[in-house]
Amino acid sequence: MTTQEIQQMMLSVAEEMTRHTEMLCELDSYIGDGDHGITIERGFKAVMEQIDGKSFETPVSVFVAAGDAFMNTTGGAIGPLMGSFFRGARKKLAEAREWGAEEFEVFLSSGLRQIKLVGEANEGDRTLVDALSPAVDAYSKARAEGAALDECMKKAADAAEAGAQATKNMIAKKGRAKFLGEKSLGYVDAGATSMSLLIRTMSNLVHS
Amino acid sequence: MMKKFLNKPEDIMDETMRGYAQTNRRKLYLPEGTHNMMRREPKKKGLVKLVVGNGGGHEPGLMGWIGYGMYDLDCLGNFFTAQAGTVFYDAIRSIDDGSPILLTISNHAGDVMNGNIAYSMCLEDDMEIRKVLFYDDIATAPKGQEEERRGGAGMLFSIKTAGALAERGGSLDEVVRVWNKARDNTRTLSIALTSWTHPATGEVMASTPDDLANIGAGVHGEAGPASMPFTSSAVMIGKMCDMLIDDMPYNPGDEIIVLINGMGATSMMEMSVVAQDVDKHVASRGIKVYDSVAGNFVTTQEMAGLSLSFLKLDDELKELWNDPCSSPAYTNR
Repeated sequence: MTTQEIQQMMLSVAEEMTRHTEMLCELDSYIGDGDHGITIERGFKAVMEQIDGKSFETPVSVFVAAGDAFMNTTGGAIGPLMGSFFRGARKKLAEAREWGAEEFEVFLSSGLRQIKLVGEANEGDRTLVDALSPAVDAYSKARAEGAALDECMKKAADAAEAGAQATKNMIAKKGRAKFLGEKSLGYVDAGATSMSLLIRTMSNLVHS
Repeated sequence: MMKKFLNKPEDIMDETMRGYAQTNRRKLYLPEGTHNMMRREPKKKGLVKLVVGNGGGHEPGLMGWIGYGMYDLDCLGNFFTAQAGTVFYDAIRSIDDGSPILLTISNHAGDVMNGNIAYSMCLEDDMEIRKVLFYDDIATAPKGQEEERRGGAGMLFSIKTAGALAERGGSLDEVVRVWNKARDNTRTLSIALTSWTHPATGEVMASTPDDLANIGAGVHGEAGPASMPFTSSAVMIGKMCDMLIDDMPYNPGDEIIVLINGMGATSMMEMSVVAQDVDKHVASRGIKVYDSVAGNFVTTQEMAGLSLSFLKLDDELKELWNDPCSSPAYTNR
């Protein structure tokens, strides 16, 4: 995919991410303060403003701009986490002019590494890592088996959704929910749901 | 149906901050277009400046403790959402005159992440800056894991004493030492009686059944880890005092300062009832109350409830506590 195609994809992804506000707020209200959807909407609206009509040199610079915009307008915990996800591959993919299956794998895995670093979160802590981490694994497995970009992304999106669902059975170890202990059981984590939505939306838009 | 004095949801924090600055115009200054609340009269150059970044919705919150002998800057995000680290960094640079900076963080996930971002950006600029955490809420991690606990309203004790030392000309290292000492001598526990309504979503949050009191509810009214039957102030407050005393522990003969922090809908009448229950109960455990503060400082919208904080004094902390300070929410002359 070319820089322009990635830019167009990021715009569509951001637009789609602003359409789930109520659902994400409701998920957050069970054990959080119920405004996760508003934060996601605000962040991705800023992403749209930041990249619409601009010209970018490389695909990764589109994502870096998106990450900066998201981080600067949202703050909280989700700002640095989503921001570092988008910015994670900025060094490794600095030179890449077109992205295929290999570049997207680097993008996803670097994003995961950055999120874990910034959020000091691991698998099983009931955070967005629990959607992203299985997605990265599924992507890598599909790619090792020779799948094309869109197929790899589809596997990643399936795994992210399953991972987000699995947070129902996890006791939170990070964020505000961690102070609830077992009371956090039974609800899907709002951050993990956002992450799985994001990967699903991307998978619907990538093409080989 | 939510009945609150509001305009457009997206304007709430801008309007809140502008209004708070206007009602305290002789003490506070808010540059137009920013969320950077600062002292109207800046601190003398060369003295340690105390800064913080956090979320709104807790008015007055830490904005109320900006002023002489207290904070120099509070950079606010949206409601219940820490300000972005990059924006916090810009705010710090906007008051930077080369004086040392103490960057303070109340231990909440978003505040820590964004505080760390701002801190590392300041370090890249070779600024003289140090970072301190505040944690005091005993409901949020067991004894022995104090550093995992969240920051609560007891932060007033560190702000007041470290702020006084900064005003006296204490070095950055000394101000850090006093901040940490006051923190380590502070314990806080909260109790919530009702729910609150999110000003943007209109959702009712953190509902507590009529016959229960929610102990350890936290500053966003999250469902606490424990609840007890709702009963008389003396019984509920007595139990909270015991939990605080046993956690520290505060020993017979200790002198403490008591902070009763209303969450928004608890009246001054009730806080006064609570205050005398606290005095009575800690006296029965041989502990002496040196000073008390009660009021709505770090609130959770219109939730009924309060948090109770104790600070164990020594000669140094007592002296610094008695130094003059002047801020919208707390003044000592």
